[in-house]
Amino acid sequence: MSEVQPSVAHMKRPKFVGCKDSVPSVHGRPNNNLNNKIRLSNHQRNLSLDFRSMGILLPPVAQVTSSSGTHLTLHHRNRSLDSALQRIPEVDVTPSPECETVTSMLAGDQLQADPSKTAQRDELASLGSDDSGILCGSDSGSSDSNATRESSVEYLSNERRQSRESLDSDAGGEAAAETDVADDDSERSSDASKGFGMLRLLESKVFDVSMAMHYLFKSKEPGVQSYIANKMFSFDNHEVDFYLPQLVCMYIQMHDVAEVIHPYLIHRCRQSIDFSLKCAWLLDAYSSDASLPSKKKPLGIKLRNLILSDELRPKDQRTPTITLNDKLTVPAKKSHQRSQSDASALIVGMRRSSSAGNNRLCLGDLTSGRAFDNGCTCFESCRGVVNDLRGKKTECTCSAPRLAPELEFMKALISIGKLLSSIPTKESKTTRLVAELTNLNLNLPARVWLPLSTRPHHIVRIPPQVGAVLNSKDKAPYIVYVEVVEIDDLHTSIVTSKIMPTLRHTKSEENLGGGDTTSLSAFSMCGGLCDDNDPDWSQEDDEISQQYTQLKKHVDRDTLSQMSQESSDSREPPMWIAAGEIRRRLSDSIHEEKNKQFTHDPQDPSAAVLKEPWHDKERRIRESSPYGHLSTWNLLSVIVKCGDDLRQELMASQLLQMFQKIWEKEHVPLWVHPYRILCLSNDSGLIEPILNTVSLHQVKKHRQLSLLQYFIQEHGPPTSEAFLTAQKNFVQSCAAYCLFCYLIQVKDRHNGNILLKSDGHLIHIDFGFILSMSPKNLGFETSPFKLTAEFVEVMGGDQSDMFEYFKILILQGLVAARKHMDMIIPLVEIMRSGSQLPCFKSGAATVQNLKNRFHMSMTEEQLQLEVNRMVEVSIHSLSTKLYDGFQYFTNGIL
Amino acid sequence: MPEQSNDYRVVVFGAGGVGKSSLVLRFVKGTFRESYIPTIEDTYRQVISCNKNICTLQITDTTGSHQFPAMQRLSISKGHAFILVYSVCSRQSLEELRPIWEVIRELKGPDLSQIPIMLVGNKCDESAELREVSTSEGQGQAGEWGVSFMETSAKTNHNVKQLFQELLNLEKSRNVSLQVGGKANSRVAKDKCDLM
Repeated sequence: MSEVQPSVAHMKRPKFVGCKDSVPSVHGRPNNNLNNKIRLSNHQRNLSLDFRSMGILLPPVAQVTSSSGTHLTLHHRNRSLDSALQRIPEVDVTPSPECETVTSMLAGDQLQADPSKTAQRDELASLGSDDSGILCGSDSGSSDSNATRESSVEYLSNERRQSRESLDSDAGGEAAAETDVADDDSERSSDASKGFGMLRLLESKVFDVSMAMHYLFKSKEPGVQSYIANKMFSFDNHEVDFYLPQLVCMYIQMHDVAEVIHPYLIHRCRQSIDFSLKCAWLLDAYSSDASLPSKKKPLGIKLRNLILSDELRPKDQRTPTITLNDKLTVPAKKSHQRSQSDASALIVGMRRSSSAGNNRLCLGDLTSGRAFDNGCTCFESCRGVVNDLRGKKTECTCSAPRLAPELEFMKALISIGKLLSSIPTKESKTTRLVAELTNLNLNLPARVWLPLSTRPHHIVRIPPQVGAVLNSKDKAPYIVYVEVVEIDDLHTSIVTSKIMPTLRHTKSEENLGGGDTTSLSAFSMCGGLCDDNDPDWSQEDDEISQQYTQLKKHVDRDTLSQMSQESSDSREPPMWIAAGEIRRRLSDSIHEEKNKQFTHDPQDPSAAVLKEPWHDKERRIRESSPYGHLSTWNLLSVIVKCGDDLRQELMASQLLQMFQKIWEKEHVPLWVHPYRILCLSNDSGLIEPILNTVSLHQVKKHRQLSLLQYFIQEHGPPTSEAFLTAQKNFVQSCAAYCLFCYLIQVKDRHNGNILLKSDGHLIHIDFGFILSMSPKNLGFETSPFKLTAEFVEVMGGDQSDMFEYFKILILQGLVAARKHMDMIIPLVEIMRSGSQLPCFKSGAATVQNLKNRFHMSMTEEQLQLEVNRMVEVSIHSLSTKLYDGFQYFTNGIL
Repeated sequence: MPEQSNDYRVVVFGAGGVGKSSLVLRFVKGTFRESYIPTIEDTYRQVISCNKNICTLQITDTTGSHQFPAMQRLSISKGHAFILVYSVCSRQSLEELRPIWEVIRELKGPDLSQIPIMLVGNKCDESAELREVSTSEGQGQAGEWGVSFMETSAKTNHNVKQLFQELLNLEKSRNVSLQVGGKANSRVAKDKCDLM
């Protein structure tokens, strides 16, 4: 074997060079890291080769090639893999992030044969067939691992002596070629390395959630799947949450995966209401595809029903019968032997009678004023308060429906959206929205929250006047601003008590300057405070109330620290500024900003609402809110969308986040703004609004200016610092979105879907047409991405150095994305398997085409040429202009 | 969005491969890597004290491999202090600093003398035969420009912290210092600024 290698290596090299790595950098960067990668990958190979060199004969195993989708592997496995798994040495090669890609590539395709080889290594002769062994692995393995480690060291040294390949690779010379040779031998060598590499990979530090998803999806091997599912308990919750759509998809589509991840989902559902709800909504959304084989359906629906039945409550700590919970909290390697039976036992243990027997509940009845009140008083009770003071956690024992308030709240938001879409004109829609929100307000504060925000909070009020209906042809998405108070825990923190605006309205109104109608209830914020305090403070005097507010805030927080903060004046203004001051600043800012506001347009009521700078809006709403005085007060906003399937948006948002992560990791200064998406069902959901933006369409319509003129007007003359900063922001974001639009094939790029942030950043929204779908597939928008002459003008023209910078950014962004392609592909691949979304209509080719767009086979020079070509094509694209024209004539979008 | 007035912005200039990123990374993260990855632009933030208040030291690591005059001008007009880096093993890299220096002089005009600028000869750990620019030559160049001078090595961590300390000491219009209650080396996340 080894003596033929040099020649084979030689022959194969060109092909290899063509296909991955070896992108000689444009700027003459030495290829150090690439070399490293190859060397590491060779280590992997060496491990596999040493099986051969040690004279172990492999039983015939069906060919495993990376291209074929279905792997036929003969699992010659003997009684138990315990012993085999123990032997996995704590190897010398600790895969470093550098080699991540390679490792996964190697192990990925070779996954199937994993156990077979490990077993062979242990005992060649016996050919049993039993698939269950692997589960017990590390439990029994830990005892004598020291002994085995020594022996593995021996193996390794043997290997060094015997394997020429490893010598070669250490020398670094023939590195590239060898990998290819190994490919050549894949039937034998990769098989041999599989189990070994796989387990080592699973145990290694580089095995992250992304890889876990990939292998859950790819592996058909129950042992590997359950190993990964167990491993998930040790991952950070936040990281796993990112992949929740993928998990749900696999749960619905793949019976074997569902089985292994079921315990994990149940565990998380018990821990968190928020997770339960998100899980249930996603299950609902992804179970809806009609073309699913009917036998698959029940799984997802069953889990959703289980969650919604509210039986998954935090486990009673005192129940000693089930040890599972303890295991879960210590998600070590040890907790492998889990099966469905444990989970079902848990469920039985948790069953309670859910009939609260409280007929005062009026969940969902918006007129009752308690539509979102589930009647639970556990946390408000004396016991709850005492526990809170003692730092202990109170458990809800009243068995009130825990999920119901939030469910009802979402239902209410959605039904408003449905109602609005039936109303003809925009004006009357807006009026109706205000009325509905006022109605909703009666039922707040309550234990409800916006599931988009990462910080726990309760909603206390929805100011009705600041809601707005957004532009849309036939649907009625709307934006609402919600006032929240931030809390420690969604479930256990006490709901803020209701504060009614007081009679002082009229008094304060008298004191308001003319025309300043925005602060109608300017001082009602004090209303809630006055009942337990000085009753005669309520004079008409502005000053008194100011002092009072200040005083009160001092008491609310740590007085001393507050004072000391006050003395350090260069800090950001503290948030307890008195109302009068707020008003003064507000009116100042209104005056100076006046020319920057868009005029109110009945046809487009959202433009004015969205253009208002967030801080001004926040200040204005806080001032007028009865809850504004609370130190934890915060303003959030959300777009409620009905009648649209947001699942594609969700995937696009995930992809954007992933690109953002990759670019940050690779230090490429590309800027994107992923916005959060929550699918409530397959035709409704929530979208996180992007603050301080206007669409290009609105810029053109309201200002009648070219983009460059608008930049100059907003930021100053082209040589000013402000303009240059905005220009830089524009270039960095434009390059990022061009690349994203190209890779993901984002279409429908009319100017209504492109936003401009107040600091110059460009943001694309609306990912309804991605991957293999474009609007009506008319063949418009054939260019790689939308790059109009106007954009180039803002960059300073196509001869400017900012334009050069733009192209370099695209190139570097593509290089970085290419390096981490295996973090991106699984996101799409898993979703494709699980849904009938229009963006997947070309089937498996969707994923393949996506891969092709990364141009893995190109060198960096070729890639640079390709980027330049794409930029050229895009600038001169006729179809972009055509599409803008088409949008203008059909939808009136400029 | 108005730029945070609290930021103290330091910009690092120099030709490609002289070790700008290495100096910054050594200072901010305490690490050093042998491999060369050309920077496009990176910004690092670190908490320091300024007039006895906490403020953010924002270090902009610029590109040496590509020339973007517009970006350069932007960084210069926004920067409060500058580090001009060359490699003692490359006379060329010292020469390449001259145009940047001219732009700084042009943009800062009469304020120039008030602005902390350091000329830095990096890679001073290299052996004598590789050296192309002697210490005294560097010193001389710094004298000609009227800026301070220092030789450093990001690799051996020679003079790195001193460089930044010295730079901040040169700032006379305000009192900036690396010391923040003894915890100068904590890198600040980007979004930490929007505290209540």
